[in-house]
Amino acid sequence: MSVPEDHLKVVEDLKKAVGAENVLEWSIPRERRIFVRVKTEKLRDSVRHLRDVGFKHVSTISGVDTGDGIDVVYHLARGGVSLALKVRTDYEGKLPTISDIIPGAVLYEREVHDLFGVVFENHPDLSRLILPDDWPEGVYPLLKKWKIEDLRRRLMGSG
Amino acid sequence: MGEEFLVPIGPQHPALKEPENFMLTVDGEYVVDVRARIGYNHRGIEKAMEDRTYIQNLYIVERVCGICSDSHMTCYVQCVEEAMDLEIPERAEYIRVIVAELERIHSHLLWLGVAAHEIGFDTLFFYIWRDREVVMDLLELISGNRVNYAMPTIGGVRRDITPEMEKELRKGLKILYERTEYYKQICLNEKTILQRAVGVGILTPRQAVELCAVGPTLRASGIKSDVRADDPYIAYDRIPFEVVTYDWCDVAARVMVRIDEVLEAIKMIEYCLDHMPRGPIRVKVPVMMKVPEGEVVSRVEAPRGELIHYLVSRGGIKPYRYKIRSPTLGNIPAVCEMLKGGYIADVPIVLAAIDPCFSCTDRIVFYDVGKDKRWVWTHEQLRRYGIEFYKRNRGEVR
Repeated sequence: MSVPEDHLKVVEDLKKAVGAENVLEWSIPRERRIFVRVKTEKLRDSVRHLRDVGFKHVSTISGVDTGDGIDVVYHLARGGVSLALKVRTDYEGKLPTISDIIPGAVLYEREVHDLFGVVFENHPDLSRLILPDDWPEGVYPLLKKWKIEDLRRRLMGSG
Repeated sequence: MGEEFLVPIGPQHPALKEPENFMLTVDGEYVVDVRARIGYNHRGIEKAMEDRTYIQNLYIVERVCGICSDSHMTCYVQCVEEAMDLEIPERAEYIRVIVAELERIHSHLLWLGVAAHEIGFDTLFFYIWRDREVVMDLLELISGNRVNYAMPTIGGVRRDITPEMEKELRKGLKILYERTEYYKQICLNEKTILQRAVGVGILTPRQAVELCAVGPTLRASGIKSDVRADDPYIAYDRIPFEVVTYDWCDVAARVMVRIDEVLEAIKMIEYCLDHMPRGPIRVKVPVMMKVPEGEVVSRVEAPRGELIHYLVSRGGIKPYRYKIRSPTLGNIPAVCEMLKGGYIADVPIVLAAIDPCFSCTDRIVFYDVGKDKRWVWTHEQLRRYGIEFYKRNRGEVR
């Protein structure tokens, strides 16, 4: 499959905007799908640039426990083109919020905070969104270190 | 400026089924601020999927939602198929579209009935739900099930559409088209509806885009966005259809978008029946199928809007990570904005107008901050309050 010109341009323009050395990897596996990894400190610059070139929609934000840290994946969309912007953070690490750049991200950041323990700095309200109020502190259930049986045992134990 | 009250709505029965909590700050009859709290129905499905094979996960994914189960199935199977680089027969793609559009019809009609109930128009509610049985029967005829049709599977679909089914489908669709056209006229002309829907729950196009609203909610603010057209999947690139938009930005527009989408869906199914390719309906995959390393983003236009699934595979028979974001979550920031500045009496219909998929709260706690006083209303009481409010103030408000 040949890579559509405008998809390549998205990556090239991002490199120009945040510096080619800060775009760590990218791929365009098929039409309308772009995956890009940028340096964590360039997250906000990247989101701002991508929003300005039309990626105004946040479809969602995913966390992935890679085994040596957490990948936070921002699924941005410009019409039919879905772009996954990835950054890496440590366990219980911090990332700046993007909810001031794209207000629709506000609940998705809270979700990643609940389930992975990533702290989004300057977020207006990081209180619990999904987990119960009496959920034990520090247990982020989508981390690989928490097996389903562990979670079940802990929940039963805490009543 | 009067005294401010805090009104929690939820966690049970804010509008439809499934729980959710909205904390409303009110000033007299006006809503000043809104905060949402979800999760009451969180079942840990993403975690559970990491522990099961791709085939087992078919059964979990279908149970994410009872209304749009087919959207989740379609999104999941095409995600896995893309990761495996698996092509499915064209006939299977057409059958997937037919089931997806039947699901849209049943979902939108269900919603229309609920919306009528929220504003106290129960006659309309009963009529619509009676007619919705036609599409439920068609789904049962094709799949054997009224809910969770289990039609898509990895590699195609499970059942074929026979010529006898096609005949019944065409008959049912004709009835549905006539009835939906009739409801369209009612919704455009009946004062009972107009008074409760026009100018209520405003979401400007700018707000809709900034807050990343999806589906009919977004299209009712005049934004032409539909995954079926923008990011076509299964056979949507071969089937002509209009993306319905209205630019009134209110509850009335959300009603009209859904009614027109029912009419479009009927035409799309008829087109599929007319142009259905012959051939097999699935390719076989092994039960312990392995998915190569990689990642896939899959999107579907569910009845409520954009649905996105994200798969990370590290090889093997189970997904390493599977993320699901259903449309209701995408519309919560928008509905909070719609409620602000409106009447308490409009809360039920505005909440219902995003067609939320979370259970209803039968309890609404009113909190008077100044006096530290609490009182409790059921959702039913709030609904009645809304209806009474409009009776009392007939023609006086707005």
